[in-house]
Amino acid sequence: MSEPTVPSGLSRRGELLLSVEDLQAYFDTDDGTVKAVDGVSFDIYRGEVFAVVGESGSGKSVTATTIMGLQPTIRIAGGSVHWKGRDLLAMSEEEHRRIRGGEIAMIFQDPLTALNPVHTVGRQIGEMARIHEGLNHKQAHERAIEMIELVGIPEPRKRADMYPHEFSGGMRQRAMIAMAITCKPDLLIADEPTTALDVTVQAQVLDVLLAIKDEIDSAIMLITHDLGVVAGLADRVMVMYAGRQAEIGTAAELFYQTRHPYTFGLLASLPRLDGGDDEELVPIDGSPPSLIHVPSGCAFHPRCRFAEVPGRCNEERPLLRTVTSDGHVTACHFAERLATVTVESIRTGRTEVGP
Amino acid sequence: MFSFLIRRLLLIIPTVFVALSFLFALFFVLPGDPATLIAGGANRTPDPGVIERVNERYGLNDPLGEQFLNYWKRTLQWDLGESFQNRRSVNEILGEKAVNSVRLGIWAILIEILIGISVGVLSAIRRYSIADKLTTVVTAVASAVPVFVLGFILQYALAVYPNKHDWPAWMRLRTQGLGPDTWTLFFIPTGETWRYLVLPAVALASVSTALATRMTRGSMLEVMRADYMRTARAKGLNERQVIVRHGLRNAMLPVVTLIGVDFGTVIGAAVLTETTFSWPGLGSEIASSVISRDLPVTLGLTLAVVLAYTVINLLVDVSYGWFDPRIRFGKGSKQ
Repeated sequence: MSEPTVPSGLSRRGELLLSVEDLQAYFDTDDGTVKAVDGVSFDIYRGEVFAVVGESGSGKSVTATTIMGLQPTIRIAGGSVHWKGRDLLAMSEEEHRRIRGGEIAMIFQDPLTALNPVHTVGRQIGEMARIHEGLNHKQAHERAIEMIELVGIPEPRKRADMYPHEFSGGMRQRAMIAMAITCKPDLLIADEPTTALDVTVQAQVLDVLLAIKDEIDSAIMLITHDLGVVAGLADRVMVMYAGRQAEIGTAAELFYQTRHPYTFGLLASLPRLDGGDDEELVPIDGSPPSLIHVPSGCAFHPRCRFAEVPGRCNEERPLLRTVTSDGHVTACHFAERLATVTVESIRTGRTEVGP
Repeated sequence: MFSFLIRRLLLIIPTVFVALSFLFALFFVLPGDPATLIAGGANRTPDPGVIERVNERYGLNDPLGEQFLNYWKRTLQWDLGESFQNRRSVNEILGEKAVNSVRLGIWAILIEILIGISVGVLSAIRRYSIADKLTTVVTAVASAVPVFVLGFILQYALAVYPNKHDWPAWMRLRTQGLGPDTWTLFFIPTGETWRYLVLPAVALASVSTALATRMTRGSMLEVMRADYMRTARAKGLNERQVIVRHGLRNAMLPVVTLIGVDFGTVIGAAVLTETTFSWPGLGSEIASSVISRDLPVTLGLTLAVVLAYTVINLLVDVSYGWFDPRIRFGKGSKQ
């Protein structure tokens, strides 16, 4: 495996698991080509939590499901996805199937619809072990009980024989996690794992996820639109916009040395408990672009308060380039000017930037 | 579960009462004097003494209210009376006709289940393929063609024509009646009986099979888009396992209801099929008893059909709990 072209992260503690390079994944529709993922590159190492952040339609979920091979209608227009050095996109469906669930497991957003209503929770968890480890019914059932216990559901033996509708929302998501970790995968892809849950159980579920990660020594790719979740959990963060990368860096870099206007927009729209009563949330003007007709140049320029239009911003697509540190990259022509900008200045409307 | 069963069983009482009271009333509203009909039919003028004796024998002189009460008293003791036409006990007629109806009905339902579900599932999996498009056309035609038209076409193409042109023996089917009427395990034909069974069973099953196919296809297509199917794929199951283990049972939920309703219908209301193929079942017997104003036969056989229908529907509802644990009864489920 050659050195990745994109500088990646500071915390190179673990083995390189997943390497995505310039991935272009398109959907061909009657209205045109939807460029759902348009040139995305990143690496994930064992032991880290890699967060992918963006609005709906930014391509985060499609990136994940493409890695999983769960997008039958997608067209891979370019790029590569390597899993432990093996090319995932070139491998046969049968080989990919063995990795799916066994080495890379996925947790979905809404655990009520993602669990099959007509099978017991225990059976659905045990099925994982039956496919990948060839356990029989009884062994699989015992494994399921073990897993249910591991994710902190009380009375695991009784719970294993119950159906998803008999579980509470938080418990269902724990069951999803139990299912995903049954075969001790190396990478857990969690697609908005807490979005459908009550705020009070979100933290519990995230705690379980983190504890499990250490227990089975895996990596987590955490897909979310919630920067609050990212702040507490992620080692590294990738911000996506319109199928492209806006910025990648450690969580600290993204929060405190922000170098992309879109990241700023996300941070400024985040409610804060320590803000005064009169503090207003600052939304990002406009809405995400159509992925069929992506704006010219930088896809974010129509909504960007720093954009120079007409100018480079609407003429030239910005490439990812290294800023503040080796692993901190951003796709903004004027990243350096943002050094003086803070979230507070955006909230108060004083956004004069340097020359 | 238990209280659910009790409630459903109690519900049968008003259902039966309303259905039969309506029929009873209808009989006396229809033109023509019952006694005259019994004594010899509308075209002849029987002796007044005969009419008087008939009225006496069947209690037709009593006030209508009293006749109604007496009818229910007898019915509760399962005394269904005797036929006005030939004085045969209605129980005897019922037993004889019901057996034929149930045998034919079982085969029609088996065809519906086997063909309807398998073709529907395959059609959904291979959506937009030639086979799928063909299925759509065939089921549309099959659900639109009346049974008597289909019946005659089948009779000609598969029985009359092959017999006339000396086709191989196994291809020659029969068009009318029960044939030798020999069976094993109640519903499996032996000897030559199958030649008589095939055509009416196919004709009777045609419309419901077409509907079951379409419903299975639609339901399966919907299920294939469900999140849990994606979960199943993400687990690493292959496509066949995904469909069989996770898709089928969910897709069957609406189809089970349809098949349950059909089962009641093919047993009690197969009038056209039974008439077309001279199959002596309940449907054709009820129809002819209505035409000849044979009240005890009409009421008795209808009672049996209504009871069978409600009980089958109850069984379907109970089996629903197996298919869908979310509606398993009496378990205090929370959504």
